Amino acid sequence: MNPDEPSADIVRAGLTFSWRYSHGLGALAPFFAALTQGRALATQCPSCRTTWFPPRMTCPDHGPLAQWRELAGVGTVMTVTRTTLSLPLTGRGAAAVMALIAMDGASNLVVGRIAGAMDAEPGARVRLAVDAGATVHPIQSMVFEIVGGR
Amino acid sequence: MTRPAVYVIGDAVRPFGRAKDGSTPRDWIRQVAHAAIEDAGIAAVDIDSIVLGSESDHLTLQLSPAALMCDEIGLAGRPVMRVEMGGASGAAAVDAGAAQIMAGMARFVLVIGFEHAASHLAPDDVRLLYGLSFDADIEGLAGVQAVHLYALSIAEHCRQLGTTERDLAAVAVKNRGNAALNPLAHRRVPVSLDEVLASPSVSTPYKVLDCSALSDGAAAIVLAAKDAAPRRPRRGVRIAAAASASDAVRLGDRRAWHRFEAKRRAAAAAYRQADIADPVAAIGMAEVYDAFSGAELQSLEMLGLAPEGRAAWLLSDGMFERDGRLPVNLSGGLIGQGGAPGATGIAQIAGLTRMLQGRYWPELQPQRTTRYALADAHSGVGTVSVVHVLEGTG
Repeated sequence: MNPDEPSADIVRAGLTFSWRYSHGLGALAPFFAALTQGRALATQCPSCRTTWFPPRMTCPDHGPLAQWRELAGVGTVMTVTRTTLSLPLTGRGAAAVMALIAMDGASNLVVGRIAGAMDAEPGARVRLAVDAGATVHPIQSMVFEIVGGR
Repeated sequence: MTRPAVYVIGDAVRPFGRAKDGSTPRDWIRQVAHAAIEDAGIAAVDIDSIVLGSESDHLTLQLSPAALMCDEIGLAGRPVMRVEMGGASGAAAVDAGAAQIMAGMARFVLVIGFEHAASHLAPDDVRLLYGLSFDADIEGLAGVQAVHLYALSIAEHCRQLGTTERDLAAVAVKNRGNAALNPLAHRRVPVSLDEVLASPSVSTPYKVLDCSALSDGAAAIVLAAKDAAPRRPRRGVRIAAAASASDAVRLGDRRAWHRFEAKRRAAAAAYRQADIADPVAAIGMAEVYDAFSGAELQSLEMLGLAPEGRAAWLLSDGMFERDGRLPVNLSGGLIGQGGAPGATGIAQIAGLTRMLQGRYWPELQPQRTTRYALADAHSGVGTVSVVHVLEGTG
């Protein structure tokens, strides 16, 4: 028998793992804690005032000098994609709009889902809210609601 | 700086697809390693070092696979390392192998890559795991998957540069058409423009047929120092350039999220290494990382093979078609040949080597002799880009 040709009675083993991680949130913990309260906590470089939401802990230009700064929690939709989203490990999934959002006061953009507005378009104004459904990670609390605009 | 010459002297690719026969990466690695060594015209005992490319142990259920795979092919005792760089794992493994030869550490290096992405875990679980390859805490665990990020990137390309869903679909049609003629391809049934446009939406503007395949796959190449390469009655193929660059992982942290800046930097560095001033004139064929149809257009523009916003027009004009001036993804790319991250970059170089040597699949083999070919792979959404330029010599 050629060892490179599997035999006809190949056996497959069905393996189901259930692994439980105790997952730390590290230096980003204040950001995640704020999300669960509907607050937008950003980091800011004291040298160049560049502000990041989601936060970075290091300014690419000035090193590890970021400090926390709370934003107003509103922003503008820049780009959208209409899709189906499954929230990992929650069993929850639904049609959703995912967007890149520029939060007021932030220099970067955040990827977020927009609740209840499948027709959301770039230019729409949104507000950070709290997803009240079941979550297993605080990032899953982050959802945006339309407050105006297109 | 003069780079010591590294040649690709042998290759083998196992057909990409869904391994329905119960075979495992151990079987695939054994097959491609032995076949590549035989194709190189050397003996296994000649191999000085082994480099393995693979992305995820979660897919394989084999942690630390390099030592096992080295042992599996009968080369225990040699130096061995594993390289991981997401979708560019195979390409980065080639870099690592070439560097060993350039440093004088080895004369012959066997570079192997594999991924068990199709037949082991359920597709939804694979997509969830791949979602963790971006920023897991801020994106992956929020449900963001590769298709969402690629869709947001190409949506902005469409908005700013006028790219249309029809332009995206044309890439899938081209690549599936090429794959139909490639016996190694995962998806060998061609598709029409109307079929792509009518396929179910996954994440606008992307539809099912715009997406690459999740594939099982393995590939291997043998690299050799110039003075070690055996004399063969075939054209020599030299790695004229190997360059990589990185970008911010999160799209929103980039200045322009529709551009793959890391690719532009890697390509510029590669062209400098190869002393190529005009890549459009010099490059005769390319394998480009089409994780999604639009990513091929974005990549061609960042690679300097099309002006920004013009790749779709050049495709419609025939430039990147099989009989065009610069055929792209003759293998079918990830959309047609398939996507197996650890193997993809190696399979790209294996295919291009054969094209430069005139021994690729007959219906896909370019008819004119070309000096340079380009291989392009990336991780993330163009986050880490690895670009190789191959040169046919003699």
